[in-house]
Amino acid sequence: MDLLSSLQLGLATALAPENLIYALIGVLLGQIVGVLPGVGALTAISLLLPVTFYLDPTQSMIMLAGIYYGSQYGGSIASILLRLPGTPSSVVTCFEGYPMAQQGRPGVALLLASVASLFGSVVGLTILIAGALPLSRFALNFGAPEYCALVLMGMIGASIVSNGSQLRAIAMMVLGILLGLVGTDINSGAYRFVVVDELADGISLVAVAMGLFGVSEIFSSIGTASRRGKIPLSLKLRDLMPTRDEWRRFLKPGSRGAAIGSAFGTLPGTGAAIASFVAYAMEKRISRHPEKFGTGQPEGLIAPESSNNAASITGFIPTLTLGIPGDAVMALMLGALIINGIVPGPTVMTDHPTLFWGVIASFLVGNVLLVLINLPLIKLWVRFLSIPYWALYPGVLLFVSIGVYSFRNSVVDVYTTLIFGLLGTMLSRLSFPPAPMLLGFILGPMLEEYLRRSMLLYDGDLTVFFTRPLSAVFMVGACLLLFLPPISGWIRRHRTARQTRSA
Amino acid sequence: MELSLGGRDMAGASGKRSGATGRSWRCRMLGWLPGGVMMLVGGSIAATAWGYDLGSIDNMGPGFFPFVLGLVLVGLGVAELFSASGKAEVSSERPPVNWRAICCISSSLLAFALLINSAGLLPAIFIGVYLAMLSERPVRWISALLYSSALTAFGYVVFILGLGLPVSAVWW
Amino acid sequence: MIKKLMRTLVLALAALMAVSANAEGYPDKPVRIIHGFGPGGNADTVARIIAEKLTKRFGQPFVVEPKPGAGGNVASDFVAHADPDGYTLELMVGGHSVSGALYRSLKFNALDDFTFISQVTAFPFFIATRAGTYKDLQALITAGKEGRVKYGSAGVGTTQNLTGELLAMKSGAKFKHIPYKGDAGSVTALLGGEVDFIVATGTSVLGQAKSGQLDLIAVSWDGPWADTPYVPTVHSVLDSDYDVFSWTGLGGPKGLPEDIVSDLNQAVVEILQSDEVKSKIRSLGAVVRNTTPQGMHDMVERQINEWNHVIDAADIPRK
Repeated sequence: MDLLSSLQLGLATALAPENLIYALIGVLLGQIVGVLPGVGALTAISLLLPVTFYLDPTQSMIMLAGIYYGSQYGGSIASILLRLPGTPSSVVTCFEGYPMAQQGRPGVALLLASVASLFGSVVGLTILIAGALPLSRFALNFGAPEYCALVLMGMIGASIVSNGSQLRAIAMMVLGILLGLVGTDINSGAYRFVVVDELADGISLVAVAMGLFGVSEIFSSIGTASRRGKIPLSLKLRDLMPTRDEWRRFLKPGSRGAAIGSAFGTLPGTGAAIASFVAYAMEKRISRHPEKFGTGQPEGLIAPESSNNAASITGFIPTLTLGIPGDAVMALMLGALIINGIVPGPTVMTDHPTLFWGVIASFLVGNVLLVLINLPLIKLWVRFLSIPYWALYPGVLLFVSIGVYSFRNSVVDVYTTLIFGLLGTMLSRLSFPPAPMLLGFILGPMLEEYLRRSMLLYDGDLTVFFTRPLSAVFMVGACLLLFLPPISGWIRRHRTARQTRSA
Repeated sequence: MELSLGGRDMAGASGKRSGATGRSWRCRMLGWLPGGVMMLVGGSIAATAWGYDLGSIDNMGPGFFPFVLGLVLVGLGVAELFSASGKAEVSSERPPVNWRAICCISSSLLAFALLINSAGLLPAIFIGVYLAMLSERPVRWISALLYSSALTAFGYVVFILGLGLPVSAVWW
Repeated sequence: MIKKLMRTLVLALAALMAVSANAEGYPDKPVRIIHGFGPGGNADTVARIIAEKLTKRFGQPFVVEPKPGAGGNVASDFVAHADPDGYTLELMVGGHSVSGALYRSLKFNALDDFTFISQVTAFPFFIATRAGTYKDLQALITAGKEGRVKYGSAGVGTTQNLTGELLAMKSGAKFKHIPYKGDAGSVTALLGGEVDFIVATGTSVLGQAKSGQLDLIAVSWDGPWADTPYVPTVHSVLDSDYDVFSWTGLGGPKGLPEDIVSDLNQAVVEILQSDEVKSKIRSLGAVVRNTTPQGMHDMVERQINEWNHVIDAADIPRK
């Protein structure tokens, strides 16, 4: 069956009323779940898994997939409006989205995020359709050294997202890595830094993100009512739309973000969160005004949003073509497929074309639905911000506490949120940027896992990172990212000094 | 992008500034704080990791990576010490620390964590929200009570009735 | 909200069904089936299949409650300390025997603190290689005896790992173990050529085997696997016994009353005879297998002993 007729089959399936309903349910649920801190796609999908026993596989997959990328968008809403990352991949959205909202343009931020997400999804989808099999075969060339080098490069590149001292950014990242290591060591089962029993399964990422960004923000915002109530929040359509200049600046960051997202999505084990960090870092690096980042630069919002949607779509590639889930959510969906008697693997495209192409087409349909639903809702969200702060922050605290608690039924996680809230406030006062810490927290354990495995496979030979071609590329990239800026800065200063001397 | 070597004036929060007369004793001490803390943290991590099985480079144990990272942190702390003894900046734009908010919100979260298992969700929400609302000055005792009750009811509807959270509403 | 709806549906269904006669009115309130893993996993799915049928049979809701953590030990700990009134049961998995051997620091005894009711499913592991790399298991063992053969598993101390070590122990070959995160990780590694073979569950490799990317060169238990009759058993290649399988089973805290145990055992036997259940279990890569309570107890004891030997021989660190 050639591509065109497959796509037609897919669209026909996806647009069939009964499947459309499930797509709608999925994205709505996903969005709600994404907004709520602590409740994520994983929770929603696991709650709904028993229901999928009674649905046919196509409908289940469409609904579950809808929840997945719907939650990405929901997380962005909370990030932009409240600086509360609803999902790990929307942490980066806080950086530019929240300042933009604070400047009185929440609608613009939401709209840009929406469209960027759709853009990223379309690009991801195209790549999925065009190259799923060859891409997944290529991804198999990635062994432990490649992953290790890639993560290292991503970490170094993305640690330079903060203004200010690079030294402190790296220190924060190291601290984040160490915090990520708390818990049970996978390889040996030994407990590391486990001061209370609940920490044996690690510190909760949700708690850290909520505390570091959300709670610390509440600490500093209370009492400064002047910052809130007086922001003129106009509901006129013209003020809710981005300026023409901003639209003009859309395409490049959107494409770059989508490219980065698609790349990370295809590699099993890396995810939308990393993709969004790297996309943001790239925009900041190549921007002509990097110092403006953090104050509401559209590029810094568009690229990560595009990238995390592209990553969530291409994240299905290893799942669908190789039967290898890229993360826990994919694993659940894989389980749903298996229950229904479908064994994912290279044969799934040919054995179950209706399912395969129907689900793929539903990605497009679902994302379009998301934008359509949210366009009128933007006004609602903007009005939401006009709630006086004294009423807003207790509600936010409520949701954060319950969300964090219910994730693992653990009060230790609530304490964690508090601790990181205090830490976040203290750190930002002392000019230690919190973002690299979160990045280190997420990526650190991965770095260790791949490093250990590389050393195990290659008998402790550290040169393997440079002798394997792909890995060498990433290592060189990492070195460039690390040393180029200070070296070029030094060269520049040298040149200026020489010019002034000769003048 | 340049490696900025200056550190912020640690004393900014407490209001002491480095004037033309030079740095005060307090400024100087606090200037060493970030680097010192980094070294301390790095050192204790490395010490703790030393107690775990380090293994060898080709078969790393649980302690290897944390140990190395602890040492790196110590190194970064040393570097920070040397750079922080550079120029001090005046950070005057920072709003003063809102201690009241910090205390109230912290006690709110603490109360929530302590109460949710022993007393149930509803008391935890009620007390938690009430304590949080005390951080607004002037304190509105009555409206805080009302709002806490409202949010408690809301929480009951959404989380217990709606989402079916496996947590008891009240202790009886 | 959906969960609530489901529960209501289940309750309504139960109310409509006639209650069959049972000992002393057991059960007269809902029964919890605890398991130690996440929703959607193997344990969860089997538990739900059984729970649905038990609910129909007894007229009282049997509710599945995941309690994940520490590889299933959090759930086992909970059940071991629960009241033996028959209202708290556990859907145990093969990892229970592994924990009994691997963990020194458990707050429960994997054998003595439990009442075993009946096994429910059993499934084997497969030895898989990249297509065409090894002719058969004997060739793999020979290669292992001479040179560096690396194998991947779902993680240190997992049943897959222990299965591989047991193979090394009994065949005299030396395999270097590379741990991955779950079967997904080891399958990816095998496909990419990072390891020479893996030990994995059927569901992880059957798809790839069907498409010809992987070869299944042996199955770990003592008989062929129905879908792949051409795959020989490990036992057929070795001189000594080799019968490794993982399982799920129903159990409860020690001291469960005899009549409750036999009622439940009988119920499980009947449930596992249904074609519908059989085919659902098949799609999970397992077969139904019921035993007597004593039979299950003996199986677990045997496995714990075997794993103890493997762990000692392979120098796997105990926790």
